Amino acid sequence: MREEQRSGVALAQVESALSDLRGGEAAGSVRATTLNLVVRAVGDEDVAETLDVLENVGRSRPLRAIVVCSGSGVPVADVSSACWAAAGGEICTERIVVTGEEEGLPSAVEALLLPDLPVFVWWQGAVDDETLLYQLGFGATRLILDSSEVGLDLIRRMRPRMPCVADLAWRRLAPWRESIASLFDGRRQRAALDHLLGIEVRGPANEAELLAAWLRSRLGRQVGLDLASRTKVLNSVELHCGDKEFTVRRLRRNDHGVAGGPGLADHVVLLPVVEPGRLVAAELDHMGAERIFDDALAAVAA
Amino acid sequence: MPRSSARQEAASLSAVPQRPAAENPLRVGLRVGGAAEPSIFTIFGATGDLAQRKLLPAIYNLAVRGLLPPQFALVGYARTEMSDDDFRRFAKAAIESHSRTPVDERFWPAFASMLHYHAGGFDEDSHFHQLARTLGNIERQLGGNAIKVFYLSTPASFFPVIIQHLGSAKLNRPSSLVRLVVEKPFGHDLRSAKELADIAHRSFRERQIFRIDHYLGKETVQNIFVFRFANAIFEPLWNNRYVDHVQITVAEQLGVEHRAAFYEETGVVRDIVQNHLLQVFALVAMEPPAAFDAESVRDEKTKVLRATKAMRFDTSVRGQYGPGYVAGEWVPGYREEPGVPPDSNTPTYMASRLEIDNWRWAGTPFYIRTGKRLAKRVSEIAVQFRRPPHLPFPQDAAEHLEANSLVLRIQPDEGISLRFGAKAPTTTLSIRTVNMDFLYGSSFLSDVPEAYETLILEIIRGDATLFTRQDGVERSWELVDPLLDAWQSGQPQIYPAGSWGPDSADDLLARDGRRWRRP
Repeated sequence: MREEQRSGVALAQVESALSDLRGGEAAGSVRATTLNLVVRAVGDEDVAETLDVLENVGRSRPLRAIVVCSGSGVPVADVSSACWAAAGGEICTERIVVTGEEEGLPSAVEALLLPDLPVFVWWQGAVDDETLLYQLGFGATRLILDSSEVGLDLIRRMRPRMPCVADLAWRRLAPWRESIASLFDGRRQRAALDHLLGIEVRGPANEAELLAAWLRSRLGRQVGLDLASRTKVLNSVELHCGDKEFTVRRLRRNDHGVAGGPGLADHVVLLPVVEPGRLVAAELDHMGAERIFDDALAAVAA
Repeated sequence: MPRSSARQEAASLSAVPQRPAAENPLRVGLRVGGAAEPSIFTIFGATGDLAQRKLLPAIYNLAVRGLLPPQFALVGYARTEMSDDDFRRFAKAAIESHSRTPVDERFWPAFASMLHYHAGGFDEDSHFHQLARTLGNIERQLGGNAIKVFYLSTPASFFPVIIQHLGSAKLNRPSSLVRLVVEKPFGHDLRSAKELADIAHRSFRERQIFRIDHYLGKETVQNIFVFRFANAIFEPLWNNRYVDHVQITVAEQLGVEHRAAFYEETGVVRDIVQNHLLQVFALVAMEPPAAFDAESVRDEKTKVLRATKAMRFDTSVRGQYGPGYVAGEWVPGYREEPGVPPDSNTPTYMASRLEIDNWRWAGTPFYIRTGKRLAKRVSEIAVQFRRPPHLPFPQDAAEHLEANSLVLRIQPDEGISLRFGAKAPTTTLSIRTVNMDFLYGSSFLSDVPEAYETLILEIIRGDATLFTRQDGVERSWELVDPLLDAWQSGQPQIYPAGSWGPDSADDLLARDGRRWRRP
């Protein structure tokens, strides 16, 4: 990968600076862009970590990333262009870090967005002031939050006001939902699902609540939640279906786990702990609202 | 199956209820593109070349990507005596050598536990009854009612006997859960294709049979369909009013390699034209289907093949590569390859002019060409548009202007290129032809799955859209059979290795006032 950058660029000069970094129009590099990704970061350390994550995202999905960071004064930009040898040439993606007074950031972003391409907004960290979140998220194709950081309540409140809100915690749960669903593919096991009373979870509270809400919304009735222990990552889910019990549990220090239940041999299931870049990248593949998530969000216990 | 009964079967398919994943309410919205139902995948010829190079790596990559059903078992079947553990070591070595992703040691034990082996021959009933017991045991471990896939990865001569034994061991039932996968060639002419189909249809329904043409699993081949029918701007031009002609090229740099015995039996027409090339042709020329489902797509493909005239001796050319230089390296001629008779008349190159008798394409020829030891490895479709009816420019300004063309490159450098005229930045009016390129890999940087990954997943999911149907296979043979008969005698024209084929191929287009593109 070849990477070049320029610091302290006035917003009006960003496009020409990026063109220069690509080597100008004659250099033969291809600027491939399929979307805009606006990322909110807090402080220099957060910006550095964000750029690391974006490196992985950009490799799989060519994009213009605009990282916004609150500071002081008129917003200025650090621009960089990362280029890879691919597809018989050199493919370049762009990153723009905009720092300045918070009130000026939304208009700075608006000026830098590439036209006609979808806009994803990824908000990192907690939300102290919802104004900037609304301003950045308003009109975005998809607003990406993480209920582990902002809480499920905020996401529930945001949902009716935004065209599409996504939760990285929901994406993290995808392999768990797959594994749980797989327990009930057989006809006998499917019958047991009708008797599901509650689940016992060892894991983060927001993910446990999302799982329970997903089951409620899919089954159309109440499903109890017992958070047996709070842990940093999800470790096990037990489903109590009358006198039958089904389990999915992660094997220690591994990317897979075991699922089983009455009439089912224990079988291996994939339960990877996915790093943030890949989670965000997965969100970028979805353009509209995800109905199953919206249904689950509506079923989250108030 | 006769064409009419194949169509009846196809028509009745829409009335056959699929086993919807939605039976399980938790499945709704999950595993887009993945498979869910418990499945047992049996490979006949599990120690063979195809299994090692393609099938085992593809199944491993599907597992790593989390796309296999959670309850999945792979059963290797071959004559060689070995234990389950031996087969797991064999499979690991094959995957290490041929997989596009390296073996993940953390994941391997979980994957290996899905692998089983059953030693047996192909010609004894008792072996298949034993296999039925083995599969029954595995099915019980998976919770019952598993989808069973039987993949015939053996020489074609074994297909009939394996199919018959599967039937006699009742491994063909229930039809809703059992799938039979057959690799090309589907016969070696129309008569043998019908015979093979008759044998298969004695034990399996047409909808249970998945005929693999791996070309259809390629992302860029599938993109032809999307390009045509997901964009509004091209389809209005996609007809004889705007298109002058179409060129389809499937060129290889490789020679016959170590497959002389196979190639002597096959030749370029059976190896490439009857299957890959005619499938691509059908995708380019077909009418829009009502839906992207197996029967709608295959109905339209078969329809355009039926509207296509059989290939004619006088508008086709055959060639055979002689010695020459390919990419700077000297290579022997076909007749000097090990195992090839010195007087062989097997064609390694063919070109032909196809004519379609329908409203859309009447009068617009499709030229196809394919061969070994050509100048470049390239597969592409070039749609050559008609020239503007009138050019309001001085003659010298537009003398280098060429007609518009749209090129869909299948491999390598997958992408789409549009050629059009633009004003050169000079003080006098000068029009030059320029290219606007879209590189598939620049907008979709993620790993592209191997064709076999796509196809195996579709088999497990029971979606036959990317597989050929018997009526399409038979029509393809009807198109090429006249050439195969005519070319049994006589000699192909020798062309130098590293060229673009024999001179007579250039003459074929020159007669129509056209010339081949240089890809």
